[in-house]
Amino acid sequence: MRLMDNRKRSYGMWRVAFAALAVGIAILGGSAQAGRKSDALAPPQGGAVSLGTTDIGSMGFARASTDSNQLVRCDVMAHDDDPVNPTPGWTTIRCTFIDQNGNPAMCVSSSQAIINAVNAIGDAKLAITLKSNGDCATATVIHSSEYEPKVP
Amino acid sequence: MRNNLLLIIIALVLAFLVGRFTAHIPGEHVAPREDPPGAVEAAQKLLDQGAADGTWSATEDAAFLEAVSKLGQESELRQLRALAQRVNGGKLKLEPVNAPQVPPPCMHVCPPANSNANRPAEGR
Repeated sequence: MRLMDNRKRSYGMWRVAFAALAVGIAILGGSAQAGRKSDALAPPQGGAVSLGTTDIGSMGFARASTDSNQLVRCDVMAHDDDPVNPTPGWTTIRCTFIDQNGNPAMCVSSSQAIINAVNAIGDAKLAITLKSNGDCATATVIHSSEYEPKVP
Repeated sequence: MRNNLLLIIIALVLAFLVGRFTAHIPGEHVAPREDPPGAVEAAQKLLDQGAADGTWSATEDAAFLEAVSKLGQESELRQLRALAQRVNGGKLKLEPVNAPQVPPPCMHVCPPANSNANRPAEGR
């Protein structure tokens, strides 16, 4: 009789252990998926890069896009005036966007305000407006946990 | 009175000279870098040649950026703007950075160059 009781108790403990394990996995799994996620672009454009009045894209979403076209890239080129003595020099940036259909857009700037914004991009979303001469008119960098990092 | 006036004039002249020379610390103010001879033409040539077929590859872009980096600030901006204008005007397609420049090597047995192995058989 006592043996039966022990077996029942042991069985009950296993059930509790399994239940606890299941709850733990559910909590851990849930926490890995938690947090607001957002596409780089609002509907209806979809995709990671959108060209238009404002060119918009984020590096993480562009890299993770399923096609091999979409791209967000900014080159920062710093120069020294004097080849001998270090000087403040100057900096030029060039940003390139390519959308899912392979359409490109490019702008350049030596404005310190635009350069500061572009330097802070990281995995953020970048929105740029262009002038007709190829200059960047504005650069907006939006940092948000909604946007995914560049992985891998 | 006259001596005092003389002293004041001498002091003013000295102050002017000291101010003029101390304000000109070497390395603090450097004239903007000028374009090396032929550098603008070289960058322009790379842009024209690279864009001639309507595409702009990563290799062409790297060579262009290198040429442009040798220019002074104004010329550099002008050349980069010229590229951006062509891109934005739809005259240039940007090739992906990782686009294969040469055909990939055969993984197994390569067919002879004049082989019809890959040609679909007629009447099948």
